[in-house]
Amino acid sequence: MARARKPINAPARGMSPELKSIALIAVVALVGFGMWWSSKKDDGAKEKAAAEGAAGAGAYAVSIPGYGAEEPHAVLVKFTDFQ
Amino acid sequence: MRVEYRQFPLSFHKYAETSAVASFAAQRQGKFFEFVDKLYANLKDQDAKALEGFAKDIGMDVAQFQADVKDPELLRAVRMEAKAGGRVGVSGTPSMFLNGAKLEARDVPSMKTAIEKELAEVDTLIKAGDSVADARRKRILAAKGGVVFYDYVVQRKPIEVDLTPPKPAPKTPKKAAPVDKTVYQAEIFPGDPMKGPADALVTIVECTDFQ
Repeated sequence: MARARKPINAPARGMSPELKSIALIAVVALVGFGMWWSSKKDDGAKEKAAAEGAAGAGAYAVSIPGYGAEEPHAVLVKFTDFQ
Repeated sequence: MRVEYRQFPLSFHKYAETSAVASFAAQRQGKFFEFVDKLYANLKDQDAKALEGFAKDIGMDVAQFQADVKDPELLRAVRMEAKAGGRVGVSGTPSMFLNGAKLEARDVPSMKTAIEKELAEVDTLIKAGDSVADARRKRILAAKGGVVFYDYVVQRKPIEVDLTPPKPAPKTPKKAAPVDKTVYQAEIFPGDPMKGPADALVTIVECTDFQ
């Protein structure tokens, strides 16, 4: 029994090789961008955490001793020791 | 006006740093000035036991005080303030700054004059449209070294410090001062202003001026 021949003018099914290449490049680029974005976000979070840690470690743990106006026009700062 | 204190414990003062930490512990209980009065009244006696006694005397929560003086964050705060002082040119105490400018005046009239002049400068800026805070900040930044002062003294920007506990003061054996056994004899010349017998066993010679 003879096989039915594929008609010459039948519409192509699926993507053309060129389109497949473009799609593949797009997918690779998209995955790459996703990975870069994710790592950047992680770095940002790490930097923020590090900065917060540094600030926490370096911040003054006590208020400034002083007296006088709360919104003064001038502040006299005195460096002192007590002995 | 406002007056603020910053720590600058001098390294050659045996108890200066521990007393500074203790004063910050007092500040946490709102008793800084009462505690500092005690320190100034007992300059020679500021060991740990004495500090606890001061805390008790002024009605502090002594248990909390004992915990706070061991808090490394208070030692860090003291050392950061001392470093900040070094960055703005403090080398001895007391050192004073008026709106960021080093105040060289020491006597009350000179200080009063400097303060009145500074207040007038701030008022001029306020009349020109600045808020009080902006005017004060402008004056600080305009002072010599004002940017560093603003960052580290006003804004209290953190500074990296070593938190090695202070070394205990070396116990130097007390050596008795050698007794001066030299015998001095004051020579008296005829006509010298003097009182008493010429053959006195003891003569007191007074070298003086009259002002």
